[in-house]
Amino acid sequence: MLLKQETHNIQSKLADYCKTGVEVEIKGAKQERLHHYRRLTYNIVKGALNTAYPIAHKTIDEDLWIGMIDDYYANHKMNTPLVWKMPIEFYEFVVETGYADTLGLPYLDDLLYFEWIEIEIHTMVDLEIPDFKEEGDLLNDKLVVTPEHEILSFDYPVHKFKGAELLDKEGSYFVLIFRKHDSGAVRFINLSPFFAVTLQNIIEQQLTFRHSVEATSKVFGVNYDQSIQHGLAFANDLVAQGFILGYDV
Amino acid sequence: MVSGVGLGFRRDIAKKIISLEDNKPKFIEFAPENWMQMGGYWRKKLREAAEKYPVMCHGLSLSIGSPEELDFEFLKELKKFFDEFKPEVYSEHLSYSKCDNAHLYDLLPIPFRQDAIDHVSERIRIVQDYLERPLAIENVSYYTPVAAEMDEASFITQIVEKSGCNLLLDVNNVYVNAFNHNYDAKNFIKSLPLDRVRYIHMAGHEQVSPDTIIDTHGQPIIDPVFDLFEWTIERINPVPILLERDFNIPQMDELQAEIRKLQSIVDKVWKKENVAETRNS
Repeated sequence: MLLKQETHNIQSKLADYCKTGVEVEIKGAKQERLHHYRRLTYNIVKGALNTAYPIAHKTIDEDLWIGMIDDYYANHKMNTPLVWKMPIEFYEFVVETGYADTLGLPYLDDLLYFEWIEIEIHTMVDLEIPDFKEEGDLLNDKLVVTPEHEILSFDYPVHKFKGAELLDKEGSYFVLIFRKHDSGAVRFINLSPFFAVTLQNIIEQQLTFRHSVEATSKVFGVNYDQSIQHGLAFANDLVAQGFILGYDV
Repeated sequence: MVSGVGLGFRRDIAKKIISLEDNKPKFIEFAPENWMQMGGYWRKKLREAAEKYPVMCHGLSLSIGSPEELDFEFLKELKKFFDEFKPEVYSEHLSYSKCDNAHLYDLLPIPFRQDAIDHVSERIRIVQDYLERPLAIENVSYYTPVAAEMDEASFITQIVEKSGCNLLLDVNNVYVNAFNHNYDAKNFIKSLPLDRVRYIHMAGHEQVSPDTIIDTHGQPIIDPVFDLFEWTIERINPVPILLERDFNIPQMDELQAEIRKLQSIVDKVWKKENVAETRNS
C-alpha cells in the first residue's frame, strides 16, 4: 500500500465527521469550512431517503424520521456505489435495528418495503419475456405474465391506509406489483389471500388458471364453481391491466 | 472526436433533450452510476438519447482517492455499461467519496501529499488497464485543504504525469477554489499540464458567505467564469465543452442560450486559431 497510515487516518477522520457530525481537528483544515462537507453529504443521503420514502417521510413524526436517518448515516456503512439503490440499505437497517418496535410504529417495516419495492420494480433490469401469442383460452392455456413483478405480503395494509389509521388493522394483506411492459409504469393490484395463492401457483408452477383455482379451492376448502367465476373476472382484470401478456406458445 | 458544447443529461430534462430538433447540444454527458443496473422506462430513455447524441460519461462513485482497495465488482459493471453506451470520454473526480468501505456520495478532498499522489496514480493506472480506456480526472472544488503538504496544482500535475491520465479541466471549480482559497485562477491554470486537457466542464455556483462559494451546479454561469473560460481555451487545443446543470434546472431555451454563448466563445477562439494556423502553413 502506497498510502501512509497517517494519510489514511486523516481521510477517515474527515469521513467520520461527515457521518456523525462530531467535530474533529484536522491538521491544516479550515475548521469553519469543514461543516460544508457534513452538510453536503448528509443532505444527499437525507434527500435520497425522503425521495424514496415519501409516505414515510410525510406521515412519520419529523423528529423520529430525522433520528432514524441520523442513526443510519452515522452507523451504517453504505455499500452500494449507486446512490439511487442506497435506500434499500436504509430499509434493511431499520428492520435490523428494530425501529418498528422502538418507535411504536408496527407498520414501519411494511411501509418502507412497500415504498422501496415500487422503485425496485420500476427500475429493475429488463427481464426476458418468453414468446407468447396474443389469442388464447384464459382459463385453460398456460399464461405469460410480465416478468418484472412481485407478490407482496404485509401485516398492515400500507397500500390502502396511512399513519395512525394502520394501527388497528393488523392482518394478512397481499398486493401484486408489476411493471407494465409497454409503458414501464408500475401498477398495484390488491389481492385476496385466495388469489394471491392462485397467482403464485400460476407463476411458480406454471399451472393454468383453471388448475390453479382448483388447487387453491382445495387448500382453502371453498367451492370451486364459485371460485372459478370470481377467478375469471380477476383474470380478465389482469389482462386489462397488462399483467397477463398472452398465452404460452 | 466530438467537438463543441454538450449538455448534462438529467432525468428532469431527459424527454426535452431527446425531442430537440433545433439548437441541439453537440453531445450529452451522464453519470454511469445514475443509470447502471437499471431497466424499464429510464433505460429506454437513455438508449433513445444515446442513439441521438454522442455520449460522454462522468463518474461519481469510483472514488479514486479512497484509502481502501478499488471496487472491482463496480469496475466490472462499469465496463459492461461502457460496452453498451460507448462513451467517447470517461472522466472522474480527483477526490474520494468512499472511505473505510462506506460510500458518502459526495466529493471529499484528498490530502495534497506525496503518498496520496503515489496511491492515486497507481489506482488510476489500474482503472485504465482494467477498463481498457483512458481516464480523465477532474480538478474538484474544495472548501478546505486537508493536511496538505503541497499546493493543489502540484498535486494534480504530478498525478497526471505519474498515472498517464488525461485532465478534465473544470473552469468553474478553478474559479471557486481561487475565490475560496485566495489564489490567482489564471496562474493556477497556467501551472497545470494543459497539453493533457481532454475535456472541459462549465457550470454555475452559489456564494454562501462573503468568503465562500459552493459549487452547486444550480445557477447560470457568471460572467467572470465565462471570461476565465475564454482565457483558458486560448491556451489549449480544441476539446469538448460541457454545460453542467444539476439543480434549479431552467427551461430548455435558457440552457440553449448558455450553450450558444459557450459555443460562440469556442468558435471565436478556436476557429480564429485555425485560420491563423492555415495562414502559417
